[in-house]
Amino acid sequence: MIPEKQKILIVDDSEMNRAILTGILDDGYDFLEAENGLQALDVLRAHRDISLVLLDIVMPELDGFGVLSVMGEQHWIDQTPVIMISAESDSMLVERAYQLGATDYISRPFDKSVVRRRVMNTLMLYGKQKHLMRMITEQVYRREKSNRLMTGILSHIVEFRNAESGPHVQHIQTVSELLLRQLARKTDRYALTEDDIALISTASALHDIGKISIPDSILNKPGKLTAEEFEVVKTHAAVGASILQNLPMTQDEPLIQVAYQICRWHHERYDGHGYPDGLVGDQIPITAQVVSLADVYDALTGERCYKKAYPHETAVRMIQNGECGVFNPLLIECLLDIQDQLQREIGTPPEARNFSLAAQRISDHMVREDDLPFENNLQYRLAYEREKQTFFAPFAGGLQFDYNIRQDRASVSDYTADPVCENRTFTAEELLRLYAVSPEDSRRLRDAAKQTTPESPDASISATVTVRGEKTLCRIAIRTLWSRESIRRIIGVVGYVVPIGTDHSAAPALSLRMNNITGLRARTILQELQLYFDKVRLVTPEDHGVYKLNEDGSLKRRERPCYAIWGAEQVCRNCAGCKALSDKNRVVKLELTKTGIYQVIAKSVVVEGRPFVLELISRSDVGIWFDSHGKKILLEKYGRDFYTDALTGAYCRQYFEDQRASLQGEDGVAMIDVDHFKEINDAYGHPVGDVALKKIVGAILSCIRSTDMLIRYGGDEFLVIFPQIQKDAFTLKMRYIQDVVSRLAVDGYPDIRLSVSIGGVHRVEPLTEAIRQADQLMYRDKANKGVLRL
Amino acid sequence: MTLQEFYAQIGGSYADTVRRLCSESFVLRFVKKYPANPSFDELCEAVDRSDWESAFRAAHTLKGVAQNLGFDRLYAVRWIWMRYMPQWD
Repeated sequence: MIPEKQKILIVDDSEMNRAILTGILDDGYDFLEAENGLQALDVLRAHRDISLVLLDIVMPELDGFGVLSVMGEQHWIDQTPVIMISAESDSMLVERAYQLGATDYISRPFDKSVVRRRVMNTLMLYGKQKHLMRMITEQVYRREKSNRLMTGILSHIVEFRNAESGPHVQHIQTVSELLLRQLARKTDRYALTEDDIALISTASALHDIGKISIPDSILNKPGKLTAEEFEVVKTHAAVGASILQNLPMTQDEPLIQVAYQICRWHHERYDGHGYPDGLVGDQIPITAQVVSLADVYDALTGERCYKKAYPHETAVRMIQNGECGVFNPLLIECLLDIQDQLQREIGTPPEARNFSLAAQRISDHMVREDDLPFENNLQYRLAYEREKQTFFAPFAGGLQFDYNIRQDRASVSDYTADPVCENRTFTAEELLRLYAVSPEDSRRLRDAAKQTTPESPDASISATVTVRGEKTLCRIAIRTLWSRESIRRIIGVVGYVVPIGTDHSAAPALSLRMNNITGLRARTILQELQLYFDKVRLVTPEDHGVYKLNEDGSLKRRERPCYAIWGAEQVCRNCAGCKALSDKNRVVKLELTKTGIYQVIAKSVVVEGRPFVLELISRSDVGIWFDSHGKKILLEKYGRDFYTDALTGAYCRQYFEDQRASLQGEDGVAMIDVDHFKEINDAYGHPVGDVALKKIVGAILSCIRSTDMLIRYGGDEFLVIFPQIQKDAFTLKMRYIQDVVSRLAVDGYPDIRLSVSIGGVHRVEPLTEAIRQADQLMYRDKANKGVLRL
Repeated sequence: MTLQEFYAQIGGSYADTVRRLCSESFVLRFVKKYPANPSFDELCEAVDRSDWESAFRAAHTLKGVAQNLGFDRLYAVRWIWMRYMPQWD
């Protein structure tokens, strides 16, 4: 059978652009088109099998954001991924689209290979997720079905002796389940999960197993029992409980525990007039309360050896009137709420009942829950799959591997290859040879894996890997997978290999909302981010604290202050953390140290109700940086020299330009220009001019604070940025600079008189404007020498 | 006139566009379609009506297509033009 082509919806108001996209993606897909947002929603409503939406932002009728919002409200976005088409590389728009649930974006102008790859990756990722969902549903369905079958057989043996109506067990399960679901809807009091509901309704089948000990003569006696006979019948509750208690299997099994409660207490009554223990109110476990009501309801509506069947209405009225004892009023409400459904479901033969719906519900729940119960191999395998899935999720594409240690088999998916080659298997040795990983790197990778623990299973190294004949510097990131046995061992390793400098990014992890998250959640996020950055930490910039997250999510302050990491003994210039905290935003800055250049992304976060700054630090020696959204960018040139002016040692213009984004809101901005510098060069030659320039820079540096920033802006023009400075102090500083420079002498040239013109502005925004005004003032200063202007 | 000469004439980037879209014939197909693009008429009409919102969108569309086809000079003009268009409420 030819598999059906996947459907892609292209939404763009330009017919040309839609045609270009269709042309680029070619004949591998079926295309649907819409020229505005409203049309797009109509198409989505009519075709629920669309695999992917390519969505423009600016459109008539309803724009791209509007479409995303509706898709979110309708939960379509859970099933149908959206890739945005953004004309501008405006990061604000892209950010907003991500927040609304977009998976990725394509920017104009279109690049054929990028567009094709993004589409392919997104489809593949969603396809895998759907496949996993289906698999879990299927397995849960099967497990549920056989569990029910077994308890069904068991209880039927009891019922068979009892000669009660066959479907009694089935009815009790159904009624219990419906009651429980309604109860969970009504109140949080009993904290019922889908798992609990399934468990209780399964266990309800066992409520009467104690009847196995009651003689036939009493059990099947038509007509009224004598007082003694009734006392014998009453023992079945306690007997059933003790049968379960004496089972030669673990009592921790939730099913046994629940069944015990049900057997022992399903004849208790809310007012304390039941048996065997006379419990009152919520002393009776809710499990038993529910089953006892279900039991009474079914006894009334069914035929018994001692009575005829009552119609539904009569049964409900009798229960309401307390003719069968007192029940939890909340449960009676639930019974009334579900009346219609009850009559419908009880009337349906058991085979027709929709097990798969229940399975779907449970699997939904399992996929959402964080901790899976590890009851059997199957669930364990699913958990393993799920862990792999979460690990790979942020990195659609690249080279991925999944290594099983016991079998020494690795399967490799190379999404960089076109067509995608999947499911080739190798031994570890073969794999390392195939990609020409050096013995040294192999050893480092093994060592990194050995360092992992079940609690922190991630590690990464950078290594040279040969991909399709080309040596490439890559990051190899791995996650070790651990056995669930009491002695935990590594049983597998999953990993991916990404060339350093491709457009892979930490964006998904970074774009997570981190407003008041718990310590545990923060720990997980930090671990994930450690895959991308050399150092990830939480700091409190106002008091220079660095915090550690313990395994239980608690926060502990480290001894060393935040700036110690830079080998600095004092607070950093242009503290990115302070800025991120005050702007409640992300800030990127570069930190130059003796050992190299580091890039710091600072993001304000709230953990356990406390404000922190999340710092993501990467060393730039490999030539990769991240932009403020965590997207990797590659710099052609790098190294410390790249950012400092070779002659004077001041920062060079490029540093300023790269830092610019984090430099808003500075207090003082000054432009300094050397007077008559051209004349000095002309009269004495460039070497002398260079000496003079060096002297001047030295003089300026001696006047400014270490937190200020001196940039060689042009040939003999300098820019000084003073964060946080009072206006008076700023004015004084500029006078001081002019004064110190005027006293400089150039050795061997006593007649050279050095001076500078300065223009400074205080608190002018934005920075571009501040520089423009400072520049003007500087020229005015030059024109009437000696009078400093502000 | 070859496609390359055409791009040189209009100040576009031929090499980059062909690289991005992978084949000359693909590019040529859409270059030929460009004049028939309805957005230009829409733009003129909207400007006549002083309907700036529609004008903005039409210009935006033209800009997007120009960008995709590597008509750099045209793209720059549109972009500047859009920035100085009167703002609507």
